[in-house]
Amino acid sequence: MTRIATMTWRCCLLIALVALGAALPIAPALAAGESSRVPRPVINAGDGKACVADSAFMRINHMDLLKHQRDDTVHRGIRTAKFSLGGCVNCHASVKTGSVNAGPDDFCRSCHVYAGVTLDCFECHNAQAKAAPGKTTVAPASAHASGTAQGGQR
Amino acid sequence: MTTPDTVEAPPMDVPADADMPMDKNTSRRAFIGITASALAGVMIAPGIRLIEIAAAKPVEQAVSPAVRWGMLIDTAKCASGCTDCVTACNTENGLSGGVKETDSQWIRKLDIKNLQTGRIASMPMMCQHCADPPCVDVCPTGASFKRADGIVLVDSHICIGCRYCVVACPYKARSFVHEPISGQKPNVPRGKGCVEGCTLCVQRIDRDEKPACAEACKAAGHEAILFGDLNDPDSEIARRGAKVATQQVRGDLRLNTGVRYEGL
Repeated sequence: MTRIATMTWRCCLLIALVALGAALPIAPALAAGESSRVPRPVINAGDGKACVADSAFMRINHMDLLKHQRDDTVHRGIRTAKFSLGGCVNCHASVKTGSVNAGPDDFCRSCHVYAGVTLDCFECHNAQAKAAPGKTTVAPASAHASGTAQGGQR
Repeated sequence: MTTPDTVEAPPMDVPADADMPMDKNTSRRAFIGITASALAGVMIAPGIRLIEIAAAKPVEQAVSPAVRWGMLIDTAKCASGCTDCVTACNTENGLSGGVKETDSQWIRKLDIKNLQTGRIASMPMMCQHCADPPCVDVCPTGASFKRADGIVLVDSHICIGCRYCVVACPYKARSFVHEPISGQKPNVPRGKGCVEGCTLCVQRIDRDEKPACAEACKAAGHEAILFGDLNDPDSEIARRGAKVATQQVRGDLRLNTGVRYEGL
């Protein structure tokens, strides 16, 4: 009786170890979203290679940085480039549309639509990147059309 | 906002400006100018420098109340029919240039006629950047505000579009944006539902340039618009203000405008 009980216990332990060993490599894969059923936003960072701060920090705090900068700029005339909205736009504008808010995959719009958060900046600010010398400007009409399209999504 | 062909000249008892503040202390700008020119030894004659030293404010430094930006407009030099200042303003700030009631006009050209003498003078009219602005007094949200350096602005982030300021302004200098806007200038965000007006080209001032209208007037050869720091006794505008009779439009309201005129 004792021998059978020990065997059973050992078998259970073995099965548990095998199961744990199989589960471990799967866990990181799920975290990366490769085999996840959950849809993920397209993050097309444009030309942006190195952001002004760590990506994880920016994801959580970009709105606060922008709001702080906005008050400094409008009321106190401080126009530092580090956290300026224009800086974001110029760096992260998509290569395809030249904007951060024109197409569904554009940097700002992609995440904001995914998260269901209203993106008000570009009601007044221009989402088109400043045209580099020799680069043709994308017609403003397209930006306007996208603005109304986005308005409809809200 | 219609532009009348003629408007009645302001009351003749408008006091000449004796209140241009004159700071006896040597200002930072003057100090830098003197020091730099002394170091470089480029003073050709008193007051004339070979190289104009730009005393640009560092970008990370807030604007200071030691400066008060203003304009002195000489109506004798302002040509009737010339609208270069208006065009330059529209180009710089991305305005449509339309003159319908619903179009934004930050600067307008007026021909004013003295009904008693028949003299007609031409002048640009825009936000007068009052020291005591009525638009700021009436704003319920604090969106209409005066920056430390005397520029009266609207913070569109806070503006709810109630248009009290439009009504309060004696100069009809504020416009309301009725239609959605696209293709704004990167430094001049504008949007539907907000009130806006002349910013004295704040985006240019912050990089030590003059307002677009003043530049355009100079380029047209009129030089009717003199822009500068009213608080700096060595600035051209303060020196001229000390020499000639200047007037504030509706000076009787005692708003202490930053934009002043000669020969109204």
